[in-house]
Amino acid sequence: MTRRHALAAIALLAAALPAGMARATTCPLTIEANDLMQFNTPRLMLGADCSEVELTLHHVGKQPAAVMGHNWVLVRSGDVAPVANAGLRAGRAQNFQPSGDARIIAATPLVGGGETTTVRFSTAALKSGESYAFFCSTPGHSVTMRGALAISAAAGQLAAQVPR
Amino acid sequence: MATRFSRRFFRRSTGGLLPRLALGLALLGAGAPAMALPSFATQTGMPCDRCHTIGFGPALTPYGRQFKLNGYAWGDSPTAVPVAVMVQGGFTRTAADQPEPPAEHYSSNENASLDQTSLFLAGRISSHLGAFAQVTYSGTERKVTWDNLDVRYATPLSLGNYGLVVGVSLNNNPTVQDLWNSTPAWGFPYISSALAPGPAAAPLITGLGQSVLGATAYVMVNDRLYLEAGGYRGLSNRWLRNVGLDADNNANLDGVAPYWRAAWQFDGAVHHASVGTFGLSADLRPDPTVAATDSYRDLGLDATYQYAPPGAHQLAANVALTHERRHLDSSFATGASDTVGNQLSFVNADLTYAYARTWSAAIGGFDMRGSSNGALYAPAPLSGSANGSPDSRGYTLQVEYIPFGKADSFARPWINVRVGLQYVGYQKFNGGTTNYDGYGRNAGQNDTLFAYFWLIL
Ligand SMILES: [Cu+2]
Repeated sequence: MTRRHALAAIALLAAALPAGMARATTCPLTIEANDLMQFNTPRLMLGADCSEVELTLHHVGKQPAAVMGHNWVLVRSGDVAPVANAGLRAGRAQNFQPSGDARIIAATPLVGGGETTTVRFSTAALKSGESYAFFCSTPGHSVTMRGALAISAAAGQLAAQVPR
Repeated sequence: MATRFSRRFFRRSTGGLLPRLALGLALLGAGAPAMALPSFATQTGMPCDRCHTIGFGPALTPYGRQFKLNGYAWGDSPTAVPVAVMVQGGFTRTAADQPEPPAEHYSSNENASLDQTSLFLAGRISSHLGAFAQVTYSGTERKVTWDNLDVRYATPLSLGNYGLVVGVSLNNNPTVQDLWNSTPAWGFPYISSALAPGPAAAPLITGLGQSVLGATAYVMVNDRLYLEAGGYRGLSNRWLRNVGLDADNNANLDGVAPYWRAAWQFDGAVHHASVGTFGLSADLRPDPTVAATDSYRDLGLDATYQYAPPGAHQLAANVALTHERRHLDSSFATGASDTVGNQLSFVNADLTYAYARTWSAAIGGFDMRGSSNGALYAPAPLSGSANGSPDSRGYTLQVEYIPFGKADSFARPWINVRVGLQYVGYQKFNGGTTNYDGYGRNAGQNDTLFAYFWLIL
């Protein structure tokens, strides 16, 4: 294919795609975790047009990861308890996440107080009509450190955080 | 605490005699103290308030329940020392003098006492095995005995869509292994005077501590449903002597007493609740020369609620109803009970507000009702009943100050102090309000003010 043909093909493709789907819309999400085993929100909202999410977990506490390490793990709601348990068995070396577990949609590594970590993931794996939950997989934390990730029905680029 | 309570109870139930001395705490104090152990804190690296509400035990947070459920085994600090010391004492004043001093070396009122000193061996043994073992010196009885014991093994399992934690507990007090503070062993008010009078009657399940040994198996399903079953056996007099007790403490259990527990819990980000049921079915042979036994069927219903938002305010509430059906064939045969059929109901509720995990105010209420039984509850000064009724009703008011146990506490986690003022008021005591004992004593004269300190190092 010549260069001219290639450019024409790209232009055609771009014109054919509905607006908003042509380019990846990366939506930023931020969540905080503290030394009291709490996230700062029980619910994260995602705009319907987000094709990719960049989630930032900020540990606002002071305690080290070995004592009060937190992570952020996204699964289907029904998978929280079994994945948390599998994480217990996986141990600290694997961030309390079973390696290669298909139930984990996205996850950050463990961070200690004052640290921040980010994970990017595609929303292609998220199906409408399914409910998703996030939790911290450090042993015992998921009892209080868990929440829902909801996809807004209305399109809106900004992912919103719902305060407690 | 539980030991004292059980001794009191068995003196009564085994011989069918009312206790000569209604030594001990107010009714609800069956709950033994302890916990918020620095040994657990060093093992996990966490301050006490992660596992205990207000930074001091025994009331557990949702995470504290998880820690216990998983066998006291989380955390792997190489510096962990699995030993802790606890001291409890205070000043006790009853509204009117007791007819006799409540214990040797004490006055009939206004006593300062060092109620108990305990040594704990508590912590992780291996990655799935942990122990909580307590030895106590009673300053009022002046002797050393074993106290609460809970050795447990637990492991997480994933089965399809279910996350399970399965475990076994070897323990010496029904409900000492329980995760909620609505059940007897760790129930409100957590501390009581050893020198104050307490009602004569109590369900059997609250009084077996340290006189039995049992094993239970449990499973927690998806952090929601908890199921547990097992059994308890009595201990021989020889065994009891080896742990500092004596034949008076023998529960005289006949065979194995089945125990069971089920609870459904809800843990949100800030709201935590549970509803459950527990029970024990025990046959006692109080008189070895009589073929018949006394059977006790205890059925409990309980609920808890905790509110722990990120700020300074916390609420906790517990309620439990225990109903006991008794079939006292043996005691009836020996004349220790008027009737064969007999029953007892006990309701116990408490509400605690805590501020900044440092100050707390609590209110509790209790109501004991049962069949009248002139032989079982006979008239006697202070501890008896004029009309043979076990009915007792009252309330507990309490304020506390807990300066340590937080992340930024001085010498964390090694210094833990709780000081408090507790008032126990009786509207009814052993069946009556005025002259309840047949010797002219009124229920209100047993109202008790207890100023206490509680130290864990
Ligand atoms: Cu966490």
